[in-house]
Amino acid sequence: MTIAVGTGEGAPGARIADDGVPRRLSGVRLFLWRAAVAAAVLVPWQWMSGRVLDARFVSSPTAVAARLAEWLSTGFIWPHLWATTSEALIGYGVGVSLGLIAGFVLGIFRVLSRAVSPLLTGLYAIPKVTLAPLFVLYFGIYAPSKIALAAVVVFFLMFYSTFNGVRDVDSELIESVQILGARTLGVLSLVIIPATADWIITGMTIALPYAFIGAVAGEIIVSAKGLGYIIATSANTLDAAGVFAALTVLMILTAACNEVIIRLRSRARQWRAVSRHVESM
Amino acid sequence: MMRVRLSAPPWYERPAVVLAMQTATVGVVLAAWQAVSGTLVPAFFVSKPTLVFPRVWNWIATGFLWPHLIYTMESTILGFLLGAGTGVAAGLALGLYQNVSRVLSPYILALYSIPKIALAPLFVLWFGLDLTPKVLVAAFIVFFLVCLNVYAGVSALDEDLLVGVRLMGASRWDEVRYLALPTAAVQIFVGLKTSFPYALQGAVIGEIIASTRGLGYLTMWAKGSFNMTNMFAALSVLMIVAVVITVGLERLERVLLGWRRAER
Repeated sequence: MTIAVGTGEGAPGARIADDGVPRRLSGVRLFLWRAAVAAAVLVPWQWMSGRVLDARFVSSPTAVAARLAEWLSTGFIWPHLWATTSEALIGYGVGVSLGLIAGFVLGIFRVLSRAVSPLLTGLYAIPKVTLAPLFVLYFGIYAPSKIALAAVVVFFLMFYSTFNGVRDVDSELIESVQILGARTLGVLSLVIIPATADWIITGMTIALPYAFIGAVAGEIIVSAKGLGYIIATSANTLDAAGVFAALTVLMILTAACNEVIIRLRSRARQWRAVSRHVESM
Repeated sequence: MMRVRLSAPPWYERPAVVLAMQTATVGVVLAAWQAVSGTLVPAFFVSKPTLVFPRVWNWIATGFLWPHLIYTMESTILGFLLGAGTGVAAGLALGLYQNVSRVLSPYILALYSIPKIALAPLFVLWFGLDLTPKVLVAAFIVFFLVCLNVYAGVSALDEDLLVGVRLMGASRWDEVRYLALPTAAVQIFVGLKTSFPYALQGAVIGEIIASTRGLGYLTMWAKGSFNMTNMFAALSVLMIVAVVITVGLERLERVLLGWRRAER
């Protein structure tokens, strides 16, 4: 699942003025429009809360902001933020490592991959997050079950990226290196690993948000710490301000992650462009 | 790239051998599961195939399964339709009006990053234990996937064509029907196809969090009573449903977009 997210640079459909020439919003005007959108959401929300809508269910921007300030000043949020982040990152590490190994092994030994493929299809089709109750039974209600969930989600993504990457390697390249006398290790290091690096990096960047999805899902289902835990308990105690505050923190965390990913992917693309260019010379 | 076979395929790739190996692998896994249970690992924790399969059969035969299966499929399909409909509309609008998408893009990215599952408790708070929160979670997930795919498809549209069509007096609807939709058709389908399994995921997650019916509920019910046989039975049903959906979508894609393969 690769989705190209564009921000409209050089794309069609900009506002067409009367002479047919597209005018593109930018700079200060763009900022003002964005601010206007934010105001259009926040102002009615603030006004309606307490008047049209029950404040317990929707809270208000001011209440949410106050709650966030309180969390920061009392330091309440840090252990939870740390819990979620560490669960996601540890799960990510485990999932990536296992996915890499499995992807390489099954990619290189086709016999194995053929034999195992129906099992993999079945396991891959099942929504991984729905394994959460099983993991809670096995690993308990604390961090390990969330780590396991994140790891499983990441594993499948990483495995498929690596597997497809290895299968995609041009067999001519392998054969030429073998003719020159390379044995298994040589073939691996000279051809397979560099050729799959692109797929691997793409897989790693795609998988990172899913680690957070796994960790947060596990926390919502049952937990004692973490952002998902705050969301679930706040919702259960009719504390809408808590829910929105936790969602805001989560949004900042995951948006920051995605920014990192976008930067890494454009770096990877540059690397790929260079290596393709070298290949074609 | 077409691979031309100049010689017979190696022995391990011949169809009969492959099928035999696959059956053997599944058989080995099931046999290992059966053997390990009760000996190395307490049967209480992992159950056995000989218990799980009859349990699934029993659920089907007694009709116990159907209300739950139907409940889950209802949430999935409704969530998918809601999310896909709004996603296509939003994707088209954003793709055709790039200034709007530039204004909204930071908000969309922020909302997209957030795990939609995190919205589930909020929806349960607002809408209760009914079908609605599950449909909404599924719809949200599908919406973002479809919207981004449609947007990508429409963005690939040739700007000159668009300007030309507008100068010729095309209305908004003409733009959509004659230009945007045909250009984006493939990408729209890809978006719909990839998002449907996520609709299932959203529905099941919603059920796990708060429900009294459905396949996700069955897994939670099994967890609550620490009944691993029921748990694996429920997961097996879930797996079968998911596989049927995935394979069905792949067939559909081959039928509708088969011409694309031939182009390569």
